[in-house]
Amino acid sequence: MNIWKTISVIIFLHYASLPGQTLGYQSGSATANLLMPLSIEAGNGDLDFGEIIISDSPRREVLNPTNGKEFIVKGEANRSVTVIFDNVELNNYEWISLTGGESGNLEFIPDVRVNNSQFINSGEEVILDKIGLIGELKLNVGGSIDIQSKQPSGEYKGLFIISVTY
Amino acid sequence: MKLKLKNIVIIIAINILLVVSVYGQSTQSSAVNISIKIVKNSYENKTDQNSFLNEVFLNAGDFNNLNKTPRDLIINFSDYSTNTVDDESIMLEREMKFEKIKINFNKQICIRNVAKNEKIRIIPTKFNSTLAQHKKSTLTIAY
Repeated sequence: MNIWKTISVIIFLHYASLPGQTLGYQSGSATANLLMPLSIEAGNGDLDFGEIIISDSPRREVLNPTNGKEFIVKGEANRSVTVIFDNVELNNYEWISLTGGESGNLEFIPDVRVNNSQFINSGEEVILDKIGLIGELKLNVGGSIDIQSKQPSGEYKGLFIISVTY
Repeated sequence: MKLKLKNIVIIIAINILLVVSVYGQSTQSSAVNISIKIVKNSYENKTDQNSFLNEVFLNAGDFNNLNKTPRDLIINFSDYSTNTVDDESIMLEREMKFEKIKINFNKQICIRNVAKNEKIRIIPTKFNSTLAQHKKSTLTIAY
């Protein structure tokens, strides 16, 4: 068998077997797009809510995305990427291991914006803006934390992870 | 036979490339720490209607047993009535050092690393007619 015919058959079979695709109505050629590697890196800012005084009533601390943490996504221009993130549970375990006291938890609810503007939920797709030869966008992350009136004191920590995928 | 073997090698290589390019598509992640420090009230002074906040004397040493971390004091001067007051000032007398700090209502300031047994005097200043008419306010000091 001609080697190129063999390669064509293999490529065709491979694509035809992808999940969710219907097998075989087209006999056309397989194509492959060479995409720029996708990257996300931390930019300016942080997710430090500072020091909060407990009051008699529950309260919500809000960190505006503009004042929060910036992430820069780079990849193929005009290509959509899916952004994934979750709520984060914070705890004061490390703090009480040093100082003693009561353990507690808090939940960080992220507020993620595209280029400091468009609100997005986890799992949504966004388009990489064409900037020069590459695609790029900024994700600005803020969020909120609800604090109970009897919230145990201490320094609460957690790790927010954000992922992007083609 | 040689050709067939070559074909097989190429086929395997193509398969690997396709699997990598289709299923191994780029997912990239980044992370950032989240932190928030919760502190309890140690002092609170609420004014009654049409009254002033009086000056407050603090002895930081009084709180020594309550916190093993380096000493911070957070002073929150807040308006808990429905009235709004733009801003006022308080004078902090910290041993021989005077610090004048302008503080807005509903904001808080933090004095870092207050020494043990250091006395701090908090003196509301610039109380004007606006504040005299001010209904209620709260001075909260936390450690």
